[in-house]
Amino acid sequence: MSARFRVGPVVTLAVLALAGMTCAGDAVQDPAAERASLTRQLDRGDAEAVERALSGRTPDGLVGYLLGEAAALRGRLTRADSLFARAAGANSPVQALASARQAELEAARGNREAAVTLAERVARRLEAAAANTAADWLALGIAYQILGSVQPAQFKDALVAYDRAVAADSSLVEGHLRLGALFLDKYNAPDARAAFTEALRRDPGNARAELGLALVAQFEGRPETASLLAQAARSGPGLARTHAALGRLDLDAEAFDSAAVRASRAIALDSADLGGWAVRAAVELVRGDSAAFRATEAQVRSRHRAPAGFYADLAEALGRQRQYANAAALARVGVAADPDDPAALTALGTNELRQGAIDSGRARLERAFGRDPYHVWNKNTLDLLDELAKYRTVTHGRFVFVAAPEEIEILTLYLGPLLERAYDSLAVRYRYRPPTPIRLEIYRRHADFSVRTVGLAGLGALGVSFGSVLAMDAPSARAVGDFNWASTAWHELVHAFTLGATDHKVPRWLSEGLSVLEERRARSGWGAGATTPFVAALAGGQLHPMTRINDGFVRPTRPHDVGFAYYQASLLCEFLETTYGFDGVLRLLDGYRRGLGTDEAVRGAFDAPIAAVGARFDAWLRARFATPLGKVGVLRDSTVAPGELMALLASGKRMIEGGRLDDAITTLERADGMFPDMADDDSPAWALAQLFRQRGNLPKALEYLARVTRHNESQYEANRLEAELRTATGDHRGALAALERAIFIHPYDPALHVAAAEAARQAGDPSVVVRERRAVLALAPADRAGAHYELAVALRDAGDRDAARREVLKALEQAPAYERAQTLLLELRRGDR
Amino acid sequence: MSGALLAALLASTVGQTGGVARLLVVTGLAGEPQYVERFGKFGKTVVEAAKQRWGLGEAQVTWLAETAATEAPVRGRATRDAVLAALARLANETGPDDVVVVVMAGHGSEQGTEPRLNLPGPDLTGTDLAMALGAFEKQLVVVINTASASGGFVKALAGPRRIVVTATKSGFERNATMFGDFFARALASDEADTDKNGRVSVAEAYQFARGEVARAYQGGNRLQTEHAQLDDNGDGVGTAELGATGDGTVARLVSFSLKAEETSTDPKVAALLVERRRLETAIAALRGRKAAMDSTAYERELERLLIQLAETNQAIRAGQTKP
Repeated sequence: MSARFRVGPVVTLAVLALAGMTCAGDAVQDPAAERASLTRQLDRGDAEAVERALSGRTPDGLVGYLLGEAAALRGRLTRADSLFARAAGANSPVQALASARQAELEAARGNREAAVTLAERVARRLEAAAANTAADWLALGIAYQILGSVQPAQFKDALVAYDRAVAADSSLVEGHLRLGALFLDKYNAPDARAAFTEALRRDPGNARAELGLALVAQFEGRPETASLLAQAARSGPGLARTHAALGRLDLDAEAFDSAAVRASRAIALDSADLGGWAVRAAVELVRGDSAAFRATEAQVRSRHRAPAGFYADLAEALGRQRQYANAAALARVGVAADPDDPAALTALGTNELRQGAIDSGRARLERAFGRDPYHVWNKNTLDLLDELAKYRTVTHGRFVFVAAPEEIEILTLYLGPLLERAYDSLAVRYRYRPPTPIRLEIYRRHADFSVRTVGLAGLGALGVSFGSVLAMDAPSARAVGDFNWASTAWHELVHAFTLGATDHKVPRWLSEGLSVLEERRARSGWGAGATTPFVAALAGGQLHPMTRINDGFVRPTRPHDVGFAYYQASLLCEFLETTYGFDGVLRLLDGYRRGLGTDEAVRGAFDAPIAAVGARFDAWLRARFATPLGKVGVLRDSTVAPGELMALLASGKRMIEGGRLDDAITTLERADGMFPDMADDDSPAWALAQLFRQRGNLPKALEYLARVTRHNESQYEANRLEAELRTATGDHRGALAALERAIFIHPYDPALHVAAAEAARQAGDPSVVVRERRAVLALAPADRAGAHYELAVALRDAGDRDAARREVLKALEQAPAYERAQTLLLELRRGDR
Repeated sequence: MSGALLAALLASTVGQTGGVARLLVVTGLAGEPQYVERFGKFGKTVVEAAKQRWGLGEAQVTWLAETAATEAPVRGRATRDAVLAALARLANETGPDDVVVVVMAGHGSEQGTEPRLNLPGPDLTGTDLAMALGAFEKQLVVVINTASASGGFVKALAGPRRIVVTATKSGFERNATMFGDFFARALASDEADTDKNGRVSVAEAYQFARGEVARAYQGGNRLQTEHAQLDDNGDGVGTAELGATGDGTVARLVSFSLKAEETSTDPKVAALLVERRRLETAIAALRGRKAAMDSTAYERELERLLIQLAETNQAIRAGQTKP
């Protein structure tokens, strides 16, 4: 960074003197009050009020400046420029500020060189001055911010300058607003919030401050974003950026009609602001209206010389719609327009990474990070890529697995065959084959997976699909029993089919619904199951109707919303398949592929309006849960009014604690009859299984255990117990099934694999014995020689004598005195058995 | 004394003595019922293993515990003085090249740079123990401290003819440890006998326990708060993962077993035993050259030697079972 741009101690602090509103020939009683009033109107987006108030005044000095701001607010940049030029005349109290705003206008048109030249001039003049007013500090901050686009370190100087502007005149709301915007631009949400809050404290109802707070909430992914934006729109209906932000929110919620309306409003207010154009263009692209998009693009190009930011916004919006290839293509256009634009480079790099182009994506992000070293997402992602470089890659048929060296073998041992099978069966069902290889990244740390997905830590999801690139948590990333890693991988693979089959136009509800449904179809117990809160929500009318089912995913407002949405969407898909046949579901997917909205796609697929289909679904849903519906309780406003089932469960628990086991069994069996699908840790089935086991009644214990493991995919203990009891009763095949389910929850316990190998041997399944013996080895047991020997035995029993010989040699290499291995070696050499 | 020289010396001396001569088990203050049970189980497991698997008699085993039991196997209360007295007695009762094993479990701490084991009354410090071990001039002493915050004992006790194992790498790892539970399991079973020679060496037990600790933390998705270390080259710097050289060289040669070297009066079998030793040496040498060899040539030669070894062993067994 050049030292001349630094804010040095030689520049003295001065008091803002924005007074001087009175111009020759004008008669104003209280210029300070009027100035404050006009500024407030500008901050509320009311350009017209300012123009009315100043109508007939000579547009010099402050009058010209305020009129310039009003013109800029409405996108009349040429007029704004000429007004700022006039305001920047000699002896004007806002001379530097007006010049700085001229530089900003150049930047808004994409004239970076001109903007930088002007900003340099402003900065040089103010740095040389003996004293600076608050307005001058503001101007200096703006100048430094523009210079920051070529020298990132100048952003820090801009912060210092804004701080000094505020120190020079604490009533200067603009200083706080600028600080907030700059902090947010540099991904510092807490400081941005503090600055906007301070602006709002000084000027209650300031729409720009309210917009700033809403954008901070949006940055942090907070659910109150929508309400904050709505508040900002009420306070300042004339601020185009608020409408564009609302449009982006609608876009994310896949409410495209509403997004288009918001975009039009934003453009009508300020056609020079590219935010509204980006929303409009995104809607056009999502709808497949390329002619409209080209027209919009031409409008943008006529307003901005190198609209890289527009393409970056557009790419980001399409990325959120899961259209990663289109997003990358648009970001590429942005980079072509301005090869140094960090936002376009970030959008391109991110979407390349999502498509598996790791080297190229990394190069883009490194270049973006060089231009914007404050970008926390890029920093996180580059750190993640460093971590990823330590991972191992294993290819298995059509799949490429990337995981930590310590666990890639154990995971791919199962995932390879599982996903190959999944691919084959799904390809038949969906009549579509996603491009291969399909890359699955499996992260040992949840934070890494989260960064891979959204650039930040803290994502609650388990897996993500970008199409043919999938990522998920490794089982080691979470506590035992948190999730089923095999069903998660299956779920993500289904997304590759539904995304690909629709050219990435499938809405969230259908994509997630089908993924969960396919989990349930793949294996008993997999996929989300019915829970008491879900049934209580159904009873309380708290589930979204079919017409708004997507809201549960994209516009959740209550803690349970997303969880309910997954299960409800899967039930809707199940209903559609059972009612209209899977061909109907395929027609629906095809409708989306052709760019239809949900109403038309549903009508086309099922020959009925969405309201009618939704009504049938509601009836189906109520019939399906008829047994527990009146017993579970009712959820209203996040509070459950408990029903009879809950009372019985509580009573049963008290009886167990009091040692009244017979009464407990009777009570819990009544509860179980009310909701036989209930299989969580509080379910009557799980309690009954343990009670019957305690009493030595293994058949009854197994009956209830099977209920739990058939409906709950991540109940590790129940599966272990079921395996133990089935082994004890000689049901080795059943024990093996239970052990495999347990392994799909937690694969790291060698004892589980040894037990599975033995169960498979007893069940006469030598290939599974081999797999389980390989699993023991993959877990790097202390007794490696023993593990190699056992694998050798398994291979021999499976008829693969060559492989058996290789394994026994490995055992003996480590333990030459190992007598059993020696015997096996000689046996294999002789060709015995 | 260099590690290599010590190893060479021990290879013969330990072979002559055949294994462990004396065992002292110290289980310290528990504090909570769960630790009373854990430390009690630990002591019992180690003592039982010594008697049943290493062939030690009642008189060769001493267990001092928090509470002195009126019946065996606990011999007395684990006070500082009692521990030091027991060590003094062992020093008198053992001779040159005997292997003396001291196993400790409990809660540890570190005050300043002084590591401690919490016992009833005054703690046992690293300095106390180092002074007491000074009496074992000719014996080989193995100290296994499975307590929390035990890491400082490595520096305090390191020296010639010493193997020191601690459950933690420093005094900062203060959480209760799991290492002792797995170490006891290694002593009481064949699980840790990774080279399948019928003996569990100190190194094997250490590696087994260390690996299982890591697995247990990983399985519970918890941050590992204990990192065991071993020192046997006397430099006072513990090693976590034992390599082919450095720490571990001696620990591989000391076993918790009385299994003696096989001999035979039958000249034919005796010759086969010599041949077996030759083959074992040849295999060890081949493995040492592995990195420098072509992999196919290595595997071919390894298989040839291993088949010869297996056949020789088979002939030995046949010779031994002849009427």
